[in-house]
Amino acid sequence: MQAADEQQLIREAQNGNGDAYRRLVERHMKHVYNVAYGFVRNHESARDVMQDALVRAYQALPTFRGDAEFGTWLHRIVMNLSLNQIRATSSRARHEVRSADIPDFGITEDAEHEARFLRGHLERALHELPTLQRSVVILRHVEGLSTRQVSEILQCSEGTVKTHLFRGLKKLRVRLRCLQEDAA
Amino acid sequence: MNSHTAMQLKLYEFLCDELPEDERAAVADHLAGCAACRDECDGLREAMQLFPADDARPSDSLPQAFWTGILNEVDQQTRPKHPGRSRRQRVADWLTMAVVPHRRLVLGLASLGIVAVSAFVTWSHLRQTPEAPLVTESVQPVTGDAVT
Repeated sequence: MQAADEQQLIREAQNGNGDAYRRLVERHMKHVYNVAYGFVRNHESARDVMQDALVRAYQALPTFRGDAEFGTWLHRIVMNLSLNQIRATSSRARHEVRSADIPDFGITEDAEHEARFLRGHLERALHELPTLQRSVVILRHVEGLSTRQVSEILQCSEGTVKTHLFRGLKKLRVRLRCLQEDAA
Repeated sequence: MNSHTAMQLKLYEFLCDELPEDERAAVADHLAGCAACRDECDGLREAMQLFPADDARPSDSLPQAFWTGILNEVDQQTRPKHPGRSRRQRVADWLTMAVVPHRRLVLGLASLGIVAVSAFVTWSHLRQTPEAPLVTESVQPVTGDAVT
């Protein structure tokens, strides 16, 4: 159930109030960026996906009925656009994880090198998961959404989400171990 | 699906502490006696810990100017596509802006205008109405023939 003030903003935005939509965007834009980044793993692409998603959400706002929370609905748009972006990128060139693509997450200098190394492997392993498993892992563990929210975004049952989480994390661990062994 | 596979599918919920009490106890019992499932459980826990809850988010490292830029871009792309306000709405907006701050002055001027227009209309009407002509009836002399 979304907050009453958010519902009010949604109604005003649906009636064409641009300021109301701007306030809605301000509330959700960081989550939108993090979800997009979780999928595309590149700042420029994440920014493009976020911008596209926010414009498309505005255009589709009249169709939003409030069955799901606005944030969930928006996450679904972001996820679909992110997956489209990945497909488009993959068709042009094999997507490689470069350390330069990984932003500085505020890690202290001492641990920076090791953390970057681990994060690079983790992101690569994550990228190699099948789409659905990658989606549930990103939404649940990178973005921190609840299993219920993930199931609403993916429009499947919570049990299905948990099964994909289990399988995805298992594959992730195996792949990560391989990458670390190769690097060693 | 064998009992190990069925049990392992519950490990995620077990580690998230999302299982009902009876199922949680069943999984714990199974893990106590099954080394393979215990390894799976340890591996899954390890994988889940790759994403610590308090990990910094990618958005944390971006400056405020980035978010302001995105907001402005979205504004630019959404506002022109929205149907603009009609001429009537724009006139109403302008009137509201012009009238509301000087309400008394505007009402006074409007009253004066109404009085002036009324006076002018009345005056015009009176001026254009022709005066009633004087009735000058010619009196015919009464002749004797008329009297019988």
